[in-house]
Amino acid sequence: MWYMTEEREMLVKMLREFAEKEIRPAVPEMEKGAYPRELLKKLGQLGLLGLVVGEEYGGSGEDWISYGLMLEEFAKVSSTFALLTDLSSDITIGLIHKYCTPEQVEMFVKPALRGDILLSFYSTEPCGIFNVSEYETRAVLDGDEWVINGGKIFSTNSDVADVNIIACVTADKVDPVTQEGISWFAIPASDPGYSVGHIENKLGWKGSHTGQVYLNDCRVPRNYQIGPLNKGVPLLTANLVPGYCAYGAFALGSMEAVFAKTKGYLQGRIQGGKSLWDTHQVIRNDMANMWILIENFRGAVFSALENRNRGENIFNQAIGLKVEGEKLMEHVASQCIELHGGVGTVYETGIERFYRDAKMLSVGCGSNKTLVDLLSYFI
Amino acid sequence: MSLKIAVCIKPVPDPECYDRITIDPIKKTLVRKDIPSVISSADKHALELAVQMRERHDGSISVFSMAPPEARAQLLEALAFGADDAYLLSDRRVGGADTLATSYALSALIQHVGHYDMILLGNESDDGATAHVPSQLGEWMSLPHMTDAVGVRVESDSAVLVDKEFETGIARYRVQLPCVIAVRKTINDVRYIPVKNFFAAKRKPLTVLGADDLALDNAYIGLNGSPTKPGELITPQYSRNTVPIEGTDEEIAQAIIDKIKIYM
Amino acid sequence: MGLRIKSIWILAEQCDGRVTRVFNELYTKAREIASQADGCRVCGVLLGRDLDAFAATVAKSGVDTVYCVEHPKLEAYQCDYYVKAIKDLVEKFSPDALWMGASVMGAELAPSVAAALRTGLAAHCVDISVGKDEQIAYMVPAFGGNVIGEILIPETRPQMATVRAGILDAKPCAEDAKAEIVRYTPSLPDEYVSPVELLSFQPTESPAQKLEDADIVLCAGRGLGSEAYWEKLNLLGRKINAAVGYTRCVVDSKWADTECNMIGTSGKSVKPKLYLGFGVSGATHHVCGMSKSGTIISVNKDSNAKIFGISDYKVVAKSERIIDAMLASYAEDKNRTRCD
Repeated sequence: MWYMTEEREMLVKMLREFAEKEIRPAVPEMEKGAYPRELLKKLGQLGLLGLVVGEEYGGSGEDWISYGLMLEEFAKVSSTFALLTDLSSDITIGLIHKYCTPEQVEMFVKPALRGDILLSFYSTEPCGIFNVSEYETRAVLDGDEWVINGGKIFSTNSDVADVNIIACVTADKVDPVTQEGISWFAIPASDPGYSVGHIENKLGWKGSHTGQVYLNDCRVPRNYQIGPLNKGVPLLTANLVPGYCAYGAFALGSMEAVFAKTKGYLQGRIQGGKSLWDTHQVIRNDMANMWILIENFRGAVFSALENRNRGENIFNQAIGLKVEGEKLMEHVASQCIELHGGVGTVYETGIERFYRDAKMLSVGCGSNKTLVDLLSYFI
Repeated sequence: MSLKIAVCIKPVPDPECYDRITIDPIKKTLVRKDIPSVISSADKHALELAVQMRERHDGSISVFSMAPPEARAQLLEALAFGADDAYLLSDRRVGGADTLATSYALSALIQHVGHYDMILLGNESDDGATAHVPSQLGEWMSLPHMTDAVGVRVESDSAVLVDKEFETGIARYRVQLPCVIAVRKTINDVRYIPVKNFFAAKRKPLTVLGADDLALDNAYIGLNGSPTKPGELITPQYSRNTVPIEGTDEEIAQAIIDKIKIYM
Repeated sequence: MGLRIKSIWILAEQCDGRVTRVFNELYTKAREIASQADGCRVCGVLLGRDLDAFAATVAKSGVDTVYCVEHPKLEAYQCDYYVKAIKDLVEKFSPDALWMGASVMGAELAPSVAAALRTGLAAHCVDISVGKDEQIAYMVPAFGGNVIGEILIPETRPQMATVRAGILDAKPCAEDAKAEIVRYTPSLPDEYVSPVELLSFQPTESPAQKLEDADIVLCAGRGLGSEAYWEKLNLLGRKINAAVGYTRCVVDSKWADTECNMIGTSGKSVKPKLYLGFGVSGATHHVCGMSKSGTIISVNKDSNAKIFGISDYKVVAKSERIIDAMLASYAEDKNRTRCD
């Protein structure tokens, strides 16, 4: 592949070994809802949580293609784990590090990069993630402390993170046009006013915990407010949306894994002395058509990642990767279950979890229907 | 004290693929296409030991290999793992060597580059698994050598303590430096290479040498220097007529127990 | 012309005063090869101190000559002393072949001697025979046993070979055999002090049943699923007085912390009357170590597992369930064993 170098070949080998030896044994527990905290910390120790964070912040200073390769390899074993990796790196550290003061880099960024602490990042309220002018969670300055009251829903990893990066209203009113009035706060899970409510029992991404958060008089020091006051929304939209290219990478890895497993199954399943692959042209056509979809998508993913490397604005492409990635992953997983026959639906076969995880991509971290609408303004 | 450690590594076809290796029925040679090369697994444990010793005692690690030019990739990986420099002897004249000729060439390569306190290797390679090279390397270099090490500790500037695993127990030896030690895989856990290292590896020196660069005695290298000669190759087939035992767990268990009774 | 060898030497190791079983296996093979040559002698080689009793034991095995290499420095195995002693002996008597068991000692000593003598060595042979051109052909495994290659040693002497215990067949020896005893004192000068010094020896707890000698061997594979079932398998082994071996995966998962009872090309070879595998997939490198077992029963939840191809009986089921059912059965009266 055009994007592979000797260094990336070595990186991929290590990632593949890590995925097989460390992630795969953790899959059954993740599917029962366990959060793989120790594994994510190991990623930190290996420098994998800061692949695209500059060395001056404590990161590895590499690039988006390497990042995509990491998520692709992890997703081949577990789409959920790839998501959790993204949540522990780009979606938390990645979003905030450039807005942090040097003091905040020492307090939050570097420990998170090392895997010493885990961060979460969320803003969604009942009004919807992008309807910031209707947010009700509010932070008020009281002397040298911010006092925060309110609540969030669909907050990912709110029950496992050490520090939660949360969006709060800090102006009297959030301007519906400029969207000024929102600021970001680091709220430690140990704060007595911080509590997590019910954790949802979801269709997929089971190892990722999503639930409601209650903030009752949480108090944090002044320097726990991250980024420019009242101008917090760009942190969300400018980085979160391009970050959807990561979803493309892990949808790709998931599809590849499901495809490879199915091909192996079809070529190995002997009936009447011949394999299903040899005797059923329909099956081979289905697989060939899926191969085309997967390989074309690979081109889209890595070209977006390279564009991002070159400093181009990939806002539109990223939305495309999340939307298309979900559709393709759902289609491929669905077809591969059918090609396995009855055993495709059985947990131990190892395909069905990719089907469930695929559906999550349509609504996780921003609903695809909203994103398509958003995209229509920019094309 | 500062240790100069040499580690010999062997690039081998990936063991995950060995069940796929076949023999060309006409040419009677191995068909290994599409099987990627990796560093032999036991050698990685030797590298891990070297890195741990350098963390404890300071010093440097050089990696050596005798292999075709493609082995560059494995040497790069060893540099990423933590070696400071790497040397590859790649030349048709040393090719086709058995373990005696290989260990001779390796000894010449190491001695050409410098003096080392310790030379570490994996006990046996994934492909040939003879476990000859460590001992023979020691003999060629007239150095004390020891295989099957499950523990190695530096005792002083001049000696190491080596735990060698025999069938009935573990013997501890004091071995004078410089020496050659071959490690068992159970000696340690091989670490994952941190990301930074992959991208820094190319900046470390990797030298490729030919036979002419070393003072090699032709009588001891390559096919000429190999007292063992390869003959026929076969892929053994193992098969039996299999009878299924079926039923409930209890019925199956009882059927097996009945068979056990015959042999108890 | 016939096979042109005059002598085959076999190194004898002792264990509790008896010669190790691999010696008898090598002896049987040596006699078979020697019978195809005119006047070829099969000899035993002993190294150590105060070897009279052991020499008498080896003399009964059927060998023509026993070489007793005695010196105080040879009392315990020390590679450099043993290499020097054997080199001296070989240079004096010029054997055509020198074979050893591939014990931990043999696997280190043989290549060291071969290098000192600049001769060829075939490692871990799975068979030895007389090939075409009347040369001894040594068959050695490679690529985890997926390929067996023939090795010839046409020019250098002695031809050297190592063989693991349990690979070749041993014929029982006649109890009244007699042999010539030749005493030899190697030159190991006092001034030469070995750079290797033995400090201590820590015996490892030996299992109740030695793997190689057991009639029944249970084997654990990755499919056992968890350390809990590894322990249950060991419990089952104790109940039926079976030895418990395992595949490399069990070492990698750290359920077993040593390779000592690992069965395969890098471990032990076993030929029990009954081999019962749980969760063993049947990779070639393991199969090479147990394919000569009498009866093979395999339990694996994967109906396509390779192991079934070489099993006499196959059980497609989760190992955990069968082990639980067997343990429950043994707890009931009807299956009480002698070991309860």
